[in-house]
Amino acid sequence: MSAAAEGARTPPPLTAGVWRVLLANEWFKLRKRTAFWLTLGFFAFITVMANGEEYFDARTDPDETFALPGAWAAILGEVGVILMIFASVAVIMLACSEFSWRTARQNVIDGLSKTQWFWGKMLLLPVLGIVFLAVQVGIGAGFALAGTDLSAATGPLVPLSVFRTMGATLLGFFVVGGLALFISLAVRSAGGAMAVWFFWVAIGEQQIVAGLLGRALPELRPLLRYLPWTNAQRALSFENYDAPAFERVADAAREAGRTVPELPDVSTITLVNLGWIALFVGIAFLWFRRRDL
Amino acid sequence: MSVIETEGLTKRYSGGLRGDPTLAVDAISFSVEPGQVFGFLGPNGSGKTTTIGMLLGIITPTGGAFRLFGGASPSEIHAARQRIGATLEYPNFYPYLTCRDNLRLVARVKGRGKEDVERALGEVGLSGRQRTKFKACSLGMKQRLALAATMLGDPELIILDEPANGLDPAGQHEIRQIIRGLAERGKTIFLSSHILHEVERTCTHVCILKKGRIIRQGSVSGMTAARPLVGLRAAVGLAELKTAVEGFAGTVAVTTIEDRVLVELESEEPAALNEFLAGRGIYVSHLARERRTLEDVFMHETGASAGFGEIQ
Repeated sequence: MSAAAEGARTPPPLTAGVWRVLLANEWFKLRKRTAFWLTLGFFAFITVMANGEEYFDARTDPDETFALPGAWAAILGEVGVILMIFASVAVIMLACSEFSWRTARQNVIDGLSKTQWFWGKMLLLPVLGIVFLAVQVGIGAGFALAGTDLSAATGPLVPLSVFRTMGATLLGFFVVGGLALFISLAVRSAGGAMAVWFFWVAIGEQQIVAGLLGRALPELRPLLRYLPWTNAQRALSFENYDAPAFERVADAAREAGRTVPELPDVSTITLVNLGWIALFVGIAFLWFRRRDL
Repeated sequence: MSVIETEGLTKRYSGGLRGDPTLAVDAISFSVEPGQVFGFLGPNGSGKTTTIGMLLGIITPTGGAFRLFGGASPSEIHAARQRIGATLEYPNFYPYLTCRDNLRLVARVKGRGKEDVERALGEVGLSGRQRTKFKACSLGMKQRLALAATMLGDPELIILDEPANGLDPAGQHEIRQIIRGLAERGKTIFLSSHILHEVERTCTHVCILKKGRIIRQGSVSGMTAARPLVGLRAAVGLAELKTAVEGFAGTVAVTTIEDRVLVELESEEPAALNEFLAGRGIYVSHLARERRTLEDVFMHETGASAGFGEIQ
C-alpha cells in the first residue's frame, strides 16, 4: 500500500490541544454566522410563543397554572421536537457551506487532517444542542418563574428529572442531528441535504418505511417505534423521567376515561438512540474519509 | 533529503455509474530539493491540481507513493504537512468573516498567535484592509490573503497553485514580488502557473505535465539553452525560406513565428546556414541569435501550438 493511501486510512492524533483548536474555531465561526443567529432567533420566537401562551393562560384562567416545578413538563418534553428540527437545520447549513465555499479542503490544506476536520464538524452537535437547549430552558423557565410564588414553593424548583429530560433531549438531537450531518457530508449542498433530511423526518420514516414494513412484515411492527426520528421523539417526554408528573398524566387519563398511557422503557430508548448516533456518525466518518475534498 | 518525492503517483477517477474512468495522474515521479523554486506546468486538465491535492491530503491517490520531507509513514506525512503552506486554485475563505478573522482561524490550526496574523497581513499589504469581509474583497485582495495564509507559520515549503489567476498585470506583479521575496528567503517553492514568462523568471526547475504524465523535467536553464536558435528574414516568402532552411544539414527543427523563420541548429553555425541559403539564391535580410523561452519549450512539448517542425 502506498504511504499516501495508508495515510488516508490511519487516524491522526486527536490530542486535547487539537480538540481545543477545533472547538475554538467552530465556536468562532458559529457566533459570527448570521444563518445561525437567524435559526436560533426563529427557534427562540417559537419558544416564546409557546411558553408565553401558557403563561398568559395561567394568568387569565384560575384553573390553569404555569409555575415551577410543575411547568417543566411544558417547558421541556415534546417542545424538544422543535429544537431537534431547528438545530438540525443549523447543522446542515453550517456543514454544507464548508463544501460550497471550499473551506473544508482549505482547512485540510492549512494543516487539519480529514479526521480532525470531521470531528470538528461533529462538535457542532453538542455545541448547537447545548445552545438551543439553553434557549429553550431559559425562555421557558423565565416565563414559569414569573408565575411562580417562590414563598409557597415546596420541594426543589428544579428536580433531577429536569436534567434527565434535558439529557434525553440532547441525545434525541444527536440522533437526528447526526443524521443531518451524515446527509450533509454525503450531499454537500445545503438545499439538497435539507430536502433529503426533511423528506426522511416528515415522510420517509413514518409514512414510507413504517408503512411499507408494517404492511409487508407485520411481525416487525413493534420495532418500527425504534426508527431514529420516532425513537428520538419518544425520549423527549418529561413524564418518562418524573414519576409524579407521570402519575398526574395517568390520573387525568383515568378521569377522562381514556387509556392510561404506558411508561416507556427509557433505558431501551436511550440504548437505541445511542446505537443510531454511533451508526450515523460511523457511516458519516467512513463516507467522508473515502471521498476526496 | 528531498522536500517532495513522488514515485509512480497515480490518480484514477472511477467515473461513477455511467462515466468512463479517467486517469488524471499517470504514475508520475519527480523530486523537489530544498531551496528550489519548482515550476509545475501543464495545460488545463493535465493533472497539476490533482497532483498537488494528493500531496496536500485532500485527494487520495489510487497508486504510487510520495514522501514529504523524507517521511512516508502516515504520521510522518501528517507532521510534514505542518511544515507546508499552500493554496489550491482559488482562495477559499469564509465570506462572512473579515480578512483578519479568516487568518485567525488558520493561525489557530497552525499554532500561531495574533502577532503572526498581523505580520502576515502586513507582508501582503493587507494591514489596512484587515477588517474588510472576504466577500467584499477584490480578487487581488483575495489572492493576497491566500498568500498571507500560506505564509503563516513560516512554512519551509510553499505550494502555490495559480497564485496570479485572474489578476490584472499590476496584481500579477505584486504576487510575483511576494513569491520572489519568499524565494530569496530560501523557501522551497512549488509553483503551478500558466504565466510562463513569470515561471521562467522565478523558477529554477520545472516539470511539464501533459494528460497526467510528465513529458519533461529539469532545470530552467538547461531547457532554455539546449541548442542555438536563430531567427531569419529574407526577401522571399516565409514558406520558401522555411523549406530552404529545412534542407540545411545542421538544422534540427524549424518553425515560422510571426514575421520570421526560427531555426534550431545542431551547433553554432549560423554563418554556414547563411552561406547555404546564399548558395540557393536566398539572401537573408535578418539573421539574429535568439533565446529559447520556457514558453517555446512548453508549447513544443505540449503540442499547444505548431511548435518546431522536427527534421527527419
